This record gives sequence, C-alpha cells and structure tokens, in this order.
Amino acid sequence: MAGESRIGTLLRYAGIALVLAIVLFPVYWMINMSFKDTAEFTARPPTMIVKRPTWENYRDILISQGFDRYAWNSLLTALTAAVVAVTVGSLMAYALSRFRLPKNFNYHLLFTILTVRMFPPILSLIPLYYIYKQIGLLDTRFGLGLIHAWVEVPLVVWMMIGFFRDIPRDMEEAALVDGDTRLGVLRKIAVPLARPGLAATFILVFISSWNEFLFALILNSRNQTLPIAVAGQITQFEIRYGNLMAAGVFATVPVLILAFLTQRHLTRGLTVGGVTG
Amino acid sequence: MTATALTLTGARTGQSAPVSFEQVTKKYGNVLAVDNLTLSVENGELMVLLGPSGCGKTTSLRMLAGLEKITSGVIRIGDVVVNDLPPRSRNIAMVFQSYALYSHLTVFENLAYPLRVRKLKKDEIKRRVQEVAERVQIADLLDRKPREISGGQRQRVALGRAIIREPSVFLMDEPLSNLDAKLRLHMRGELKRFQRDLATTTIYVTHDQAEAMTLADRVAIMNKGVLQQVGPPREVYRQPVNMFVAGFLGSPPMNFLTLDVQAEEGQLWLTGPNVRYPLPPEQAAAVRQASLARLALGVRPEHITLSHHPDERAIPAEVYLVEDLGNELLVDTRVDGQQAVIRIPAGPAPSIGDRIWLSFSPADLHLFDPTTEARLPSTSPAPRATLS
Amino acid sequence: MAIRIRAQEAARVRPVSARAPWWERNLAWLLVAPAIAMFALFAIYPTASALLFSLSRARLIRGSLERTYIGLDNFRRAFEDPLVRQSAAFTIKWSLSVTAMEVLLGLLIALLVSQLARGRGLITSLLIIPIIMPPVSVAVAWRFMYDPAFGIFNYLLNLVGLGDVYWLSDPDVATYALMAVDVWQTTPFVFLLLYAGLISLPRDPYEAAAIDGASPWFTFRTVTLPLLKPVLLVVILLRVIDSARIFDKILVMTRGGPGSQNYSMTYTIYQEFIPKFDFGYTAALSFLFQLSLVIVATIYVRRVMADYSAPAE
Repeated sequence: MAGESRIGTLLRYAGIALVLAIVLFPVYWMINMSFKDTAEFTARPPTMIVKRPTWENYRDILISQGFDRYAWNSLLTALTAAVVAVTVGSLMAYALSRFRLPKNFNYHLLFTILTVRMFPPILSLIPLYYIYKQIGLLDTRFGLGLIHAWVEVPLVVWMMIGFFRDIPRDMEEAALVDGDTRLGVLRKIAVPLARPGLAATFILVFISSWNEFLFALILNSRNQTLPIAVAGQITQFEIRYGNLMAAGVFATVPVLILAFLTQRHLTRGLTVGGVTG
Repeated sequence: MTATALTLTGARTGQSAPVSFEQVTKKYGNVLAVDNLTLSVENGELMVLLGPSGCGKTTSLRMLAGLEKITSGVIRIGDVVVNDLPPRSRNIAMVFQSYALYSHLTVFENLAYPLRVRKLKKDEIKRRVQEVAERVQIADLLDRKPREISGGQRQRVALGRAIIREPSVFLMDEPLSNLDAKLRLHMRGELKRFQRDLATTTIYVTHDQAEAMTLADRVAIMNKGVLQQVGPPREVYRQPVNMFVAGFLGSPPMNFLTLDVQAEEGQLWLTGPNVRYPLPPEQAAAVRQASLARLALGVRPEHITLSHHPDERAIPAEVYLVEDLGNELLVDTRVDGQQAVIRIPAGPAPSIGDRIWLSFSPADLHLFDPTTEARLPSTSPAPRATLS
Repeated sequence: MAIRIRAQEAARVRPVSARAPWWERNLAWLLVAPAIAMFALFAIYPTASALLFSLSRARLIRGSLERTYIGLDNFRRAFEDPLVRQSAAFTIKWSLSVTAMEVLLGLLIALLVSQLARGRGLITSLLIIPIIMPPVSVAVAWRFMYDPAFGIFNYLLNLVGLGDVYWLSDPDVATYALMAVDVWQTTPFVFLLLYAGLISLPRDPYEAAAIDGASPWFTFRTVTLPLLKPVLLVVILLRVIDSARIFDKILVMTRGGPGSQNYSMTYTIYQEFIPKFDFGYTAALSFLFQLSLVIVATIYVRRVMADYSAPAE
C-alpha cells in the first residue's frame, strides 16, 4: 500500500514536471535565442544554453528601431487604462456592494456590464474608429487607454465587489456614527482596507492593456504600442529572428515582473476575472 | 429650520438627551421587523432592549443610530425628529458587538477618529485621547493596532471611542457578547459605573437576561418585533405581563403547567390526570371572571418547596433528573408529563423516580390564559407597558 | 470627573450640518455614474451607430464618411460571400476544438496538482506565466520554433530521421499548429479556474467515498465531476466565446494563411476594414458575428449572475 502510493506520488510529480517543461520551454527558448549572435542562431545542433551571449539584438531594436518609444507608448496607454478602469470600476463596485439601489438596479447594472463584456470587440471598434476620428482621439495614447479601460471595467467591478464585501460593514457604520460622511468613509475606511485588491486590480488592467492587440493596431497606428511593434518585425521582407526574439522578450519582461510582485492577489484576480470576464 | 434642529439635538453642547420612539415600524419587503414600537427613554436613563435574536431590538437601535431607514413613525432625540438625519447629525455614539475598530488605524487613531472628523485642533485631540485612554485603562496601548491587543482591550477601545466626544445618547449593541464569561462579568460592572458617572442616556441591546437585570434602570422586552413590557427589572420580573416575558426572564425560566379549571363544592380546582389543586381564593375571582376552561399556572423554580409527603394542597410530581450546581440543586420533575424545575439549596437530594409534592405560596403564583398567553387581568396590578 | 468635558470645550466641536446634502443622499448613483457614462460612450453609442452603418453603404473617402441607406444589402452580401462562410466555419471549428482541448488538459492538470502534497504554490505561479504574456510575444516565440529551417521542431524531427514539416504553410498542418499555440497559452488559465473550483469543493463526500472504498475513477465520476459541473460549465462557455475572437496570433503567425484557410471571423472583418474602410459591410459582419454568439453569451452571463446577491439595505 505504502509502496503503491509512493509510485503514485512519483508519477504525479513526473507528470507535473512534464507539464511545466512544456509550459516553460517556449519562454526559455525565446529568451535563449534572443541572446544569440547570427552565427550561433543558425547553428545546428542549436545550443541549449547560449554560448556567446550578446546584447546585439536588444541594441538593434532599442537603438535602430525605436523600441524605447514603443515602450513609452505602451506604458502611457496602460497607465491611463489602469487609472481610469480602477477608479471607475471601484466606485461602481463600492456602490453595488454597499447600497441597494431601487428596483433591483444593482443586479441590472452588473448584468448589463457583464453582457457588454461578451460583445466581440470588433463590433464597437468600427464605429469607435469613426467616433475617435471625429473627436480627435484617433492615434492618441489616451484614447486607446480609455477603450482599454472600458474593456476591463467589468473585471474591476467584479473583483472589487469581492474585496469591498470583505470589509466588515460594522466598521463603516462605526465611522458614520463617529460623525463621518459617506464619502469620508469611502476615502478613510474602505479604500485603505481594500488597498491590496486595488493594487492587484490595477496590475491586471495594466497587463491586459499592455498586451492588447486589436484596438492598438487599428486605433493607434501612429503611436504604436509594443505588441504592434513586435508584430511589425515580421511584416518586413525578411524576418530577423534574433531581433524578433529580443522584441518578444522585451515586451514580456515588464508584465512578468509586475505579475510576480503581486502574485497572491493576482491569482485571485485571474480566477475571479475568468468567471466574470 | 436646520439651525433649530442643531441646537435642539444638543449636537454641540454634548449634553445627554432623552429618546423616544413613536409608533415606529420597520419592514423589510413584507417582513415586519419592528411593529409599531412606542417607547420613551428618559434623560440619563439606561434602557435595556431585551429579547431573543430576531425580535427587532437591534433593528430598533440601528434606526435610532440612523443606520436603517424608518418605514413609518417618528424617532426623537431631545425634541428633534431625527428620521431624516444622517448618523453624524444625531450626536450619538455606538459600541458594536464586533467593536468595529478600524483595523488599519492605531488605537490612538481609533479614539481620535470622531474628533478628527469634527476637525478639532491637534493638541486638543491629543489631550482628549490621552484623557479617555486613561479613563478606560488603555493608555499604554495607543500605538498598537487593534489586532495586536486582546479582546478585553479592544472592548475598552470601543468604549473609549464612544465616550470621547460626549454624545447625547450611547447606543450599545451586545457589547459584551464577544468576551469570555469572566471578563464579561467584570466589564458589566464597569459599564454600569461608566454610565452612572457620565449620566448619559444609554440604550443597550442584549439577549442575555442576566445582563439586562443587572444593568438596566428599565428594561424593554421585545418579541417578534413587538414590545411586550417595559419597566424596572424587578417589576418586570415580578409582574410579567405574559408568558413570553415570564419565560424569558429568570434562569432557569418560570415553570408553566397547563391545567383544567373545574368548579366544585364552591371552590375552583386546577386539575390534570394526577393533579387536583385548589386555587387559592385570592386568584379564584379573577379566574371566574375570565371564565376559562384551561389555565396556565406559572411558578418560578425558586418559589417552589418540595416535600416527600402527600399533601392535599400540593401538586404531585415525579423526579426526572437532579442537577447539583454545588451551592444549589436543580430538581427537574414531571407533572402529568409537563416539566417543572425546582431550585433548592444544596442538601439532601431526592432520587430519580421519587414521588414528591410541590407547594408554593399563593403570592408567588402567576396565572395566564394559555391561548392568549396574557396574564389574567386582576392578578396584574402593574400596567401592561409603560407607554409615554 | 476627568472624562466630563467642560461645556465651552465641547462647544468648540464644529457643528455638523443636520440633513445630509443631496449628493450624499444620492451617493450610490453618483458612484455608478462614471461607469454608466463610459457604458453610454463605449457600448450604447457605438452599437447604435454600428447598426446604422450596417444598413448603409458607408465608406471613408478622402477622410470623410459617405453614407447612403441601402437596407439589408450588406447582410445579403455577407451571406453570399464565400470568404465569410469559410471563416465562420473556421471560427466554429477553432472555438470548439480549442475549448475542448483546453478544458480537458486543464482539468487533468488541475486534478494532478490538487493531489500533490507540496509545491502547489510554486507550480501555480509558474503556470501563470503564459497567461499574462503578450499574445504577440507568444506567437513570435512559436513562429520561430515552427520555422522550417531554424526551428527546434524540425531539428528534433530530423534527429529521429523524419523529414521537414512546413508547420505554418502546409494546409494539412497549419490549423493544428495554430491551435497548439492557443492551447499552450490558455490551458494554464483554464487550469487556474478549475483548480480554484476543485480545491473549494467540500471534503465530506470524498471522505464518505473513501470510507465506502470507491476507486479513484469512480470517485471522480460520481463525486468530483458532478460537484465541479457548475464551474466547468462557466469555463466552457467563457472559452467558447473568447476563443471565437481569435485574431492576434493568426495575424502574427500566418496572416490567415496558407491562402485564406485560417481566416477567423475577426480576421476577415479586419481584412475588410483596414484597407477599404468599408464601415457598412464590416459593421454588418460584426453584427452577424455578435448574433451568433448571443446564446452562448446569455447562458454564460446568467450562470455567473446566479451567484450574485445585492447587499442588505
């Protein structure tokens, strides 16, 4: 019995090791290749660990292809998206978790916002292209950030409802009785206590905006964000794979760092986000 | 209008104020949580709202605090109708069952919160926090966060936060129920002292009848949203207006025996299969007037004496269980299958299965109509409820 | 008495206004107002104007929009367009296959991880990596691995004596090669959801089953699966909808190729939109696309909302 379970355990760990290998290898391979010079890149058999690591590819994309500018575009867009989505979404989440609106409006609002999340983005994209063109938001980072924010508002609302509900109602009522206004309670009690949730939500929205492709491609062709610039590497006549790998890594590193900084809350966010959008 | 309201609530003067509920009703959808509550609390009085969970006592308190909307009726603090005032304009302070301390703030900041909200000067806040902290004996904890102090200390912080700005009314929602038994007794005493010293109107909600009896100037007993009886603890204990109040106060609770009423030989008898008890003449008149076929006879466990010898004027019973509490005995008996508990001083105990006879003085008898559960009229000299 | 504060001191407490101001009484509405404003700007207005576009011939000509009402012509054209029919078929096939594979693999990994005694936290954090990576980076990494000349896959095939495979240009292989990339990136996400569902299942039924001597497979069929069904359903619905929108990976890896074999709905609409700026036709296509997802989306939203309860008053 004990022997059998030991074999079982061993098999399970072997299985999970295989899964991890499959999941991690492409990432590792991209990083590995991004540090190879042209000669090592085409070498057969390929070197599993880079022998003569070089920054050449990174220098290429940063200096001659302006990836610093694309990163700046991505950063501004993602910050706009995160600030707007977290503000708008959290305010709504607070209202929905603390107040009962008449006629079951709480339910209807959430339902509506979740339904909209189910629309394919391309549906609003086409009219938005025209609207943005009219009001001058086309090809601006702010305009792109706004639409990214809107896409993530349902996620923020759903996540923050959970965090706000975790704050004891008593505590907010005590503050009301102690003489504070509703807004004072939100500012001095709810927001400080929901800070971990706000941070995790902020980072999730940031990552999602950083990664977004379709809106960025069509609404902001002048201030390209990183994903567009990375994809742009392939549209040329010949593909410079070394640069391409470096570009891929360059776009990935910031989100990886952010993700690992807030790992615990991020898992919760991803899970909640999945069940809701 | 607004200005008058302000001065009248005493919001600025920090003086105690009376409170009154006038025909206050609270509905959640179709559920009636508080039904037409009318109750006045005098200035400086400690009123305990007592009842089982779900009886509407906490809802009443929360309506007074401004945390629940009132469906209909009027609540006044002082002369001012507070129905539409937010909690902060009512000049009340509240101690919550959970203490509701601000977990992200230190003890100092918790105590200072009500003062900071009112934009007091920094040095004055500091002085008053220090003063209150010493008063509730937490002066050495001011830098700690709530999770770093014990339950009893948290309770003191909650109390300190309530008294720091001299409200017109204190509201306390089961403030002692999260403490262990020993600490609860201690804090109960302290609360009573605080309240006496501050002489501020206090409304105290609890489901613990012992707490109510020891703390209250007057106690208001509620059941299913309806106020049952209001009065000083002793009066409510001695003259309960109905079987609910009689059964809720006292531990173990009052015994009820439901028996048939029979008139024979110019005398009223209460009878059961094995019972034939002559109703004392003092009560007979009332029973005749009510012309009831059945009657609930109530006696408190401590008012029953127990004998091993048959007695015409006693009720025969069989011992079911004996519990020895050290200083006293609880004898659980069955009278025609109905339970009757007797409390007697420690000493020789009857054995299980013994046949015994229960007797009591006519003055200690409470008679109720078993269908309406109300006390028979002429045997209740006290008013039904002290309405203002 | 120390605690009694002298009257003049207490009077220094600033008076608070009696009635709450209007904005505080309507605070709930004010708090949801920004979201509603965004909803109007980014959902209602675009949807309404997409509807108008779809009934018009609307093209951007030298920067200005020319629009004439043509009724349902755009929709008629869509139904007759072989490319639309083909990409609709592709999208359905894609969405169902990818979802099936992801849910199957995700469930398997979730079961595996939930049985481990140690290292669960580390494994979960490593599995998060693909989820948060930019899809474009993922596509780029895989495109290189698929490269016929320099890619690792063909190198490995050669090593065991097999010939080169043209992963992304061979019509028999390309679709599956693309699916593999999506499965690689999204299975961890499905895993995370199912794993969260799995570890929050009640323990009692398992203990009862163990006491009854049930086999692991029997326990899985009779305990785990029924208990996990609600989560499983939500995950499947979500993945069907989300995978149907596939765009970025296809654009980066094959531009819909070989030929137009791997045109997804979104890719087709994009192709019609970007060079030609045909607002009318693309709006009609988007509507048809949305309409075909409506049933799945509705079930999903209802499922998710079933757990919601409004706060007590």
